[in-house]
Amino acid sequence: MNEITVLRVSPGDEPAPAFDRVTDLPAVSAVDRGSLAAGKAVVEDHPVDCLVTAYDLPDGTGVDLARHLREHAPDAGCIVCTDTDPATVRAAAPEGFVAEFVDATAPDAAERLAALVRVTGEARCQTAYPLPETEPERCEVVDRLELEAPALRRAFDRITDLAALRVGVERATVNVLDSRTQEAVAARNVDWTTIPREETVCTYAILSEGVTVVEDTDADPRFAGDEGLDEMGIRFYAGAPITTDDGLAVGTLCVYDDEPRSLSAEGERALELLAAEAMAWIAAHAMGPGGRDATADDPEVTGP
Amino acid sequence: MSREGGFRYEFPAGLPLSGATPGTNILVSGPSPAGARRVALELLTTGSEAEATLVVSADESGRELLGRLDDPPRPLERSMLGVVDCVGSADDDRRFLAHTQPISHPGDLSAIEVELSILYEKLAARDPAGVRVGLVSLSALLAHGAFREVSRFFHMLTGRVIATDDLGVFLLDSTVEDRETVETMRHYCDGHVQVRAEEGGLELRATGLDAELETWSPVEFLVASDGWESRTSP
Repeated sequence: MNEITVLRVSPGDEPAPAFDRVTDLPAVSAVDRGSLAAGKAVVEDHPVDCLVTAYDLPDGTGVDLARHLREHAPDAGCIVCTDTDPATVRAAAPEGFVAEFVDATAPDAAERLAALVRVTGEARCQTAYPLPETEPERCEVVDRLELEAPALRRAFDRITDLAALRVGVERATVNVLDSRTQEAVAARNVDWTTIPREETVCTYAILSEGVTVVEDTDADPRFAGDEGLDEMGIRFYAGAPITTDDGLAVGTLCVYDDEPRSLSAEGERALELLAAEAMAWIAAHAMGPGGRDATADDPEVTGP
Repeated sequence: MSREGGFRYEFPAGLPLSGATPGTNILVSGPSPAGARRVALELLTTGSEAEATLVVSADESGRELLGRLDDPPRPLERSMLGVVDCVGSADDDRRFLAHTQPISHPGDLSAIEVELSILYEKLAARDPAGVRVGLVSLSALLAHGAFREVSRFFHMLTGRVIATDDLGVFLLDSTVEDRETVETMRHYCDGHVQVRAEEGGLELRATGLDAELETWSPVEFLVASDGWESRTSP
């Protein structure tokens, strides 16, 4: 089990009593702070998986801190645990803001909070997108990938060129998706590199075994009006998951257009084959020189 | 809230579904007027009297929802029933356990969460054997809020059900949602119950639950648009 970092913020030198049981949880590393400013500093300098915060802070509110965390780490969990009048908390939180709430005066508050932290941290259940069932295993494999080798990058460049040419578009990328971000490891005629997963289409593409085609992002409720996609000029998207032999999608091969369009069955097949080729290169590179398996402890990354 | 060992959320005999283990989330989709709503409410309100039920009512007022459950009368223990009213009605009729502060509209996700958690703790204080948490309907939230934030809220809600060993039942009107929306919301749940109305009555099929029913199977409800068939003694 990966360790999760929980930021606990409450006034004073000690965490609030209701926060105590959080540190009883396995694989939890707690960071404690006593103010909004101190909490913000942690958010800006350290990865935080889950925030547990009181509402009343000396220099602001826990809702302010939660909103700050969401801007820096959209996937992190936010839990406001407080004895402040709930009406005050409601008035302070914007309508569309999503965070857990625990009444610190409830008899089972500490137990309830600990249970919510456990699930929020382990299952990451405050992401704005669904996660693959095998997300923990998938992320472990991604974390072990080494994609900096020049030969590998050249291969990915060829794959993106072939994909764009076959589909008849100008732009294509090979992407790797870790637990929070999407990184373009090869990019044909695009200038973006690392993007939060909730701002991508690929985070949905890795849920499917086949090619995901979005003929018009403006007509798809998941992406309609998305400013990020508008800025990147993405109106059409087609993505094939790059998948290990064990079915773990480590990334995607994608093509894009700035106008709505469709994709033929042959185009889909081409993307599938090229995505498989990308995975073959990754697997072969993971074997290392002389046939040594550089990921011998990881049976999921196997040769082509 | 750990449940007693071996505890399961049971479903009524008229539904071709076996029970669910604590921490299960079920999406119920279908043309809502034609029966998905009825199936969802049946899953939520036919537990033992030792269980509690908490429903977020997003497309009708709490009073209307209770009226639906009252006609015909259902053997609900009112002290174990709570409703979060999301349609902005101020209601002084304290017919049920606890009435939360009015929520102006279903897009106010932060208010829904605050009131849900408060009401949950009031029910939890009664030491229920289990808690069935419902959202009627997810479609109402999607109609009033941004997709991304409603998706996050729903993900969080299903996570809460897991954390507290409850049963989650969530209604989605498939006549107003497209395939991508249904598919996205399905991913957050352990099971998906699809409901349709045929000439002979309601049918459902289910995936991801203990009794996988990949073919349409009849349920025992009458198709009549008004009233429910009571399957318990008055």
